[in-house]
Amino acid sequence: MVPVKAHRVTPAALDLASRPLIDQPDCEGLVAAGAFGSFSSLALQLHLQGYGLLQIDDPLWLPLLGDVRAQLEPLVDLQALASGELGPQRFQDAWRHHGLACVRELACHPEILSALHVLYGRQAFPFQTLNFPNGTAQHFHSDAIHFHSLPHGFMCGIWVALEDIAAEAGPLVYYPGSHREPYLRARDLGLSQAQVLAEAHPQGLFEPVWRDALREKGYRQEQFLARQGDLLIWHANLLHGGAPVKNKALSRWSQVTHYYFRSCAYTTPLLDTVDADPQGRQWRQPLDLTQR
Amino acid sequence: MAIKSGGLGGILGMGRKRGSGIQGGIEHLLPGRITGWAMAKGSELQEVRLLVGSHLIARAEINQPRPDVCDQLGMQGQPGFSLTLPTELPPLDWNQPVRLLALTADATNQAELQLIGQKKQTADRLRALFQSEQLGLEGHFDGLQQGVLQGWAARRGQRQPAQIWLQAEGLPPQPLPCDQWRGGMEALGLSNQCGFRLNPGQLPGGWSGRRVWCSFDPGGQLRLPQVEEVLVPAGSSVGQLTVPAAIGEVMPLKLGSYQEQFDFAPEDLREHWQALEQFRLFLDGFEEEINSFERLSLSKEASPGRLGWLGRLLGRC
Repeated sequence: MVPVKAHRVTPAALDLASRPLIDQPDCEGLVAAGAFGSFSSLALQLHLQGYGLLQIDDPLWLPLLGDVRAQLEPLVDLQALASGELGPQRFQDAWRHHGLACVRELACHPEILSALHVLYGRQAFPFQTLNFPNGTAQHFHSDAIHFHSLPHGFMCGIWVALEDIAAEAGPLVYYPGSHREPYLRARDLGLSQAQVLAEAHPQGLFEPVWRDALREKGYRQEQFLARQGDLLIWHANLLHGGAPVKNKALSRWSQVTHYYFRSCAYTTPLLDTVDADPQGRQWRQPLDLTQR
Repeated sequence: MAIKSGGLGGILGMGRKRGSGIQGGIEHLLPGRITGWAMAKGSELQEVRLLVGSHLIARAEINQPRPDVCDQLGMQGQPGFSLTLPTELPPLDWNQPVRLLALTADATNQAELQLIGQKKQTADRLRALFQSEQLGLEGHFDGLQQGVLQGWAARRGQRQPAQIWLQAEGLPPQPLPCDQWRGGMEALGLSNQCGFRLNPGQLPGGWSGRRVWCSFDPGGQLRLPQVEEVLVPAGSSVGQLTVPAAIGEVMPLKLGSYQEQFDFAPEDLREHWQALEQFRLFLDGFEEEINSFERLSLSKEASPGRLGWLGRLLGRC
């Protein structure tokens, strides 16, 4: 396996003065003025709903996805998967830890980077990939407690279906409009470092707040029953998760890539506790997969 | 470097930045906002940019009406600006220069703006503000309305209520939690639970008739904007609520020892308490005398249903 270089980002010049274009209060005016070109309806959907589908025109797109799946399969006990005995499994940064260049290639696809640049108004770069052979049944959450940015909102997720996804396979679910909820940090919940570190899954500390938001605001769940090659962009703060896996013998091959944007400060809000050192671990130096 | 200017021009900070033809400055430095004005002869200024070294912290267009400035300069335009500050900052090297620049659209003409009347302190004041806990707080002291001191304070995107301080010269500040409903604030990106209301009758006695203001910080340096002077109505304070033990710390009257409460009480309240204390000591002494007398009597006969000193004073013995 060829050693993979991992570059970390430390912006020489921060720009803390602007918001993502899709988060601008006058986003609809920008759409009307043609600021998003061919991505107008996607921009409006991200602004209003917090998610949207990006059409990839590259004829090599599906073959690339086939490569990703084919190279991941040897890492999975496919027999256990087919018999429904495989628990939720994921491969984080497979391009780095398993040397799968195609995972990185998918994350850095020029059509994705170009669309994100137009939608957010800044150059994007992928900093993390996750590959899933089956459903995660993950509790709904906002990614913005795990990784976020200053200025707020310069982070997003992209979910790509590596195969057709069945409703019984535990598809991706999300709550349109929930991206407008306030961004949360551990300090907003009065959490100390000790409280966060004591939890094996500290996301659980935030889940009651999100459940309250769903109850109070009445956000409705939608499922992403994707066809192979479909690509969903979701806003940093959109509540999303995995539906229960009704048929554990079904696979749900997918790749999630998280993107940051240039000239921001990068944070882990989960570690931004009431007693956090102002220069502490809540500040990130993310990887930049576009740098080789 | 600015050229000196007298009269109203001096108040407005109408010195000219050498070489740029730009005039203006910072009028108000608030935790959440910097306001001021800037104008240039021969070119149109587009925006102000706040920089720490090469990092752009905030920017705003120069587009707000300032007829007072235009009249004074004999120029036309909208030279005012209101720059919203971020609510949090990443770790920055504070040895780098901190500057507020006014510049044209193509940045060919630019000048550094400074605090009007405090030019040399501008960078230090900005640095101190950026590193303060109050960064990003916004608010307003409405004054006394329908007999109640009221206003609001909040930080954009923050769930927890802000706390500000009611101030009067020479008195310990009173904490004011800003957690009461105030409609319409969400439209400004703030929580609707950001108001404060205080009945002056709940203030300690020393506040009666005093000129008051609100500040974001307990030290009283960062004042909330207010339209006019506010006086606590004379005779409205009754000293029922709390007395600050020290800046940033509050001790309810019902807690703490008598001496602690006494030490931190306003002066007029202390006199009142001292008079009561002397009367209590007098009564204690009087009771002691009665007890001594009774002890002598009891040695001669038993005394069933013995009453306390107050009962005996009231003639029930």
